[in-house]
Amino acid sequence: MTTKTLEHVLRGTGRHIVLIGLCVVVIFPVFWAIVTSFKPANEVFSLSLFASHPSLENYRDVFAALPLGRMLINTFCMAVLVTLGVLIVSICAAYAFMRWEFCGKNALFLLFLGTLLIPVQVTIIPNYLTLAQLGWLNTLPGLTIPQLATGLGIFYLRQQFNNFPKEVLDAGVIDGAGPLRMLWSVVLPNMRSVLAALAIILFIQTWNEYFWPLLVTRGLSSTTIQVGLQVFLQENSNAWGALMAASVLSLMPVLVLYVLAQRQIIAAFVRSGIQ
Amino acid sequence: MLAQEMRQVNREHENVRRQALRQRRSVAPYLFLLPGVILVIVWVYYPFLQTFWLSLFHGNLVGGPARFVGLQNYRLMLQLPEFQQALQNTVIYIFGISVCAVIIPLCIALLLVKVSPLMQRIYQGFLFLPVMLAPIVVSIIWFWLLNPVQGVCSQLLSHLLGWNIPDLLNDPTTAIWTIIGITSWQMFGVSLSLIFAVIIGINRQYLDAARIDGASEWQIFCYITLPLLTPLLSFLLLYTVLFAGQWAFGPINVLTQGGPGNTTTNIYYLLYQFGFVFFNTGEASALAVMLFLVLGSGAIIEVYMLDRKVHYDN
Repeated sequence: MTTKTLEHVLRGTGRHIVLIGLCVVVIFPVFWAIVTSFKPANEVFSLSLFASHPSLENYRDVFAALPLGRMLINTFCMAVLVTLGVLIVSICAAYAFMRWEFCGKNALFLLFLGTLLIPVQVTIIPNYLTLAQLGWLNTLPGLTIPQLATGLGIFYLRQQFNNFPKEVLDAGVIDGAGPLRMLWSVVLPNMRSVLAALAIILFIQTWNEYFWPLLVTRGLSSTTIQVGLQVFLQENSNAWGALMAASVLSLMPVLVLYVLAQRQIIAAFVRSGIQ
Repeated sequence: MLAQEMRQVNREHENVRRQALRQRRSVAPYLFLLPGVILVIVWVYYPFLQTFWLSLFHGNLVGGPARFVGLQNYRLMLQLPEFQQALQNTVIYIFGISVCAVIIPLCIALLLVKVSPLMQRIYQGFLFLPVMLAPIVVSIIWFWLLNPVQGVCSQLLSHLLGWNIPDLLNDPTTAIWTIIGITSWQMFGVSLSLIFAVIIGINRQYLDAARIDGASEWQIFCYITLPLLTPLLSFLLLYTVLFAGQWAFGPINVLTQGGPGNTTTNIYYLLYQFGFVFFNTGEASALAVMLFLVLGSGAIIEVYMLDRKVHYDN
């Protein structure tokens, strides 16, 4: 009996040891980046887990080298605009799929689904040429509008909207609500948590986007923080403290959002994947 | 009496509903779908077709007259040693990332279901974090950790164990595996939470019944958990095959630029180089078309097989 409980306890701790070890592997790089960013130049290469004389020197250095404020504002604007745009487009489309039976419904859904099969790299050259022709290179529309063309949001919302009780819609029709009012005052208020989770994921994804801004923007003051990081890396590949400071600035908003809405984010990922 | 009235109301309700639906059948759904359809056609399908067209010309991004060359770009690309290397590496990436970002998460998910719900949430919260980080930030942080002289990994190993690890990112034999490791570090949380959610959702009664019948943990895994996971696992593998090359793009671009000696380049990176480093749109487009044909047909075959498997499970 006792050997059995002992074995049980040992197994339990074994599990926790593996999982804790894994968490350390995951967290340590981020932690180390934050610590390094606060270490003054003479401590950067030391192995101590904390900065003994924490300083903001590194942050001053990056701010001096890069127009970081502008970059953060640019990135924020891009992320907000793309998030809102994708939300609006996806809500409208998902609502149409939920609400009505119409000719060509399946074909149109396949049209959106098909976008998931076409890698960005396949369409990026023609898109670049189109932007150049439109004179949209290095402009806000050029940066944001092509990023709105994705089937992901529609795909995700359609699954969620399909769970919406049809009786409620019927009640709305009997009350004489038009399609827009129905969407606005019946469907959306009931989908708040789903929409919030999608918005957070879209915001983070766009914040992290790097390929498209790299191609479209010209000059440091009109580009995003991720591109700025790459430029800074190429020019100062040994200024580790400053590099880490820039990285921390870029990941902080994501980290804060994640800590605040971690459960909703994971749940949204799971919901979108499992169906 | 009351029943009759109810029926009457019901009939009216049904009429109104049908009328409403019929009335809406006109243009409303199309209006709601219009923005999405326009965006997708203008920025995905039209350029997609354009890529086929561009692949038949010799041209460059900077402008200049394009010359029709037929399939020459395809021939050039197929003969290019870098292409063959990139193709081979893409397969290695897909294999490596499938193992590290699907099979390992499966094992971890099996551990995770055994701990208390509170701890599950805490562990999951930590383990999912890298998914949210920008690939470029992840790459830069690892660049620092793996620095052969001052990086914390090499310092720790040489201090504690007296090991001298090679410069992982500059050694042709280890570079690609290092990139695979970093990419998997970032992505494995996705599979982990999906697999975990499915295992948690398995009806406890199946498991309890099996246990009462004296089934071992291994038998339970083989005959209950694994079959119920098959649809998800095939989906995750499909997903990895389609996207592994793209996930690795960020780390490749930041850490090795395809080197040393092209050992870490892959099709996506080569495409990027031809298009935007060498400004050769024709050859890049030919590459894009081939990429799509291979991945697209792979995806269609996989979806077909997935379909059959799901029916089988039912």
